[in-house]
Parts: sequence; C-alpha cells; structure tokens
Amino acid sequence: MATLHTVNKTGQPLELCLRALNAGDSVLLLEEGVYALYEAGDVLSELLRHVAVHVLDADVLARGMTNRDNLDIDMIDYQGFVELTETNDKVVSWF
Amino acid sequence: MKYALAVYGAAGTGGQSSQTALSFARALLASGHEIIRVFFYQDGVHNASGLISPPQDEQNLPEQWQNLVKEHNIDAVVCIAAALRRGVVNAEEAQRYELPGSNLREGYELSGLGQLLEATVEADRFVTFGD
Repeated sequence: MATLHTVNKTGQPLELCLRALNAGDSVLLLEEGVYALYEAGDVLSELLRHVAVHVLDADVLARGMTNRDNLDIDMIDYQGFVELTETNDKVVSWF
Repeated sequence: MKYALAVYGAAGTGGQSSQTALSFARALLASGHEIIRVFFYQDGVHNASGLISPPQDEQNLPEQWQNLVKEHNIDAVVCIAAALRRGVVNAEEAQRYELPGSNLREGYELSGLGQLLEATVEADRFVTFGD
C-alpha cells in the first residue's frame, strides 16, 4: 500500500519521514520543506534512489529557488498534488 | 473521491498551512472531488474568526476560506476546545462563558474531535496541513 509523505520543513520532520519510508512511497516537499533541495549532506540524492520525490512549484518559486538540474526531481503544481493523493492510498504529513 | 482536510495554522501563526490547504482544496474541487469536511484545529481555528484584518497587500485567508465554504457548501468544523482558548466563539458560547462578544464566521460549526475522527473514517483520503 503506497503512501504519500508530505514534508513542510527540513530538519526533524524530514529526518523522521526518511525513517518511515517504504519502497514505492512518494515524497512531496512543500513550504519550507523545499529547502531540502539544497540540504547539506545530500539527503535528497540518497532519497531519490529509493522513492519518487516531488516538489511543489509555487513554494520553490516563492523562495527564489530553482529545481536542481542535476537531480531529476519532479516539480508539480497543486493539480499534481491532488493526483499524488489519488494514486497513493494514504497521505502522511510531517510537520 | 471523498476528501477530508485538517488545517492546523492560520495567517500569523508562523507557517503557511492555511494557504496551502486552501490552494489544495480549490484544486480538489476543480478535479471533481468532494470535500466532506474541513476541520480547523489548533491555531487553524483563527481562520474562522471574523475579527481578522490582514494588511491590505496580503491575502485575506479567513475571507477566502469562508467564500469557498459557502460556495461549495463545505462542512466546516472548528475544534471547540482549541477555539475557546483562542477566543474564537459563536453567540451561544459567548453567552455560556459570559464573553463580551462573538466572532465565529457564518458557515462554521464549533464541535469536538469526534468530528475529526468521523471525517477520517468516512473520507477516502484524509490530508493534514500542519503549520
């Protein structure tokens, strides 16, 4: 059963989320969580090997950040957020 | 599908969860989904206050929420315990606690966590917007 994990902050919420992920799950970085794109130690590239990672475009743009072009991260809008909640059976929010 | 949402924050409470939840709710409705309940919890209860006046160059989230609730006839429930301690009350509670006034916006209901539990059971998807 696939789960969508939303993460709205880096730090503890992201770390706890990483421990709870199962293969086949998806992660959506939103709000302050989009700063994980530049997280030290590159948690993200490790993460990308195991699960699908998405970022919410409005929150990336609001912070003047661009998607890291060397990582294949899917930028989605709210419509895409809705679709992720359709395709996953449950949504867990880390905040 | 049937969705239920929980909103934990409001403008001025530190995060942006109210804005995110509102945008998500609009996208849900645009996709043809049904929102069976929005539960305003913790600091999220401020979204239901009629006494919030944001600066003019900022969005008025309480007003936008209320418009969405009205337009789509959404069951908008405000946690009563969270609301009372933050000064969000309807006329009935104002009278009960002998308060000088009430401020709960029209279209919202003060109720308990049982409504949150019920929403999680009845909905196909439950999404929490933590602040």
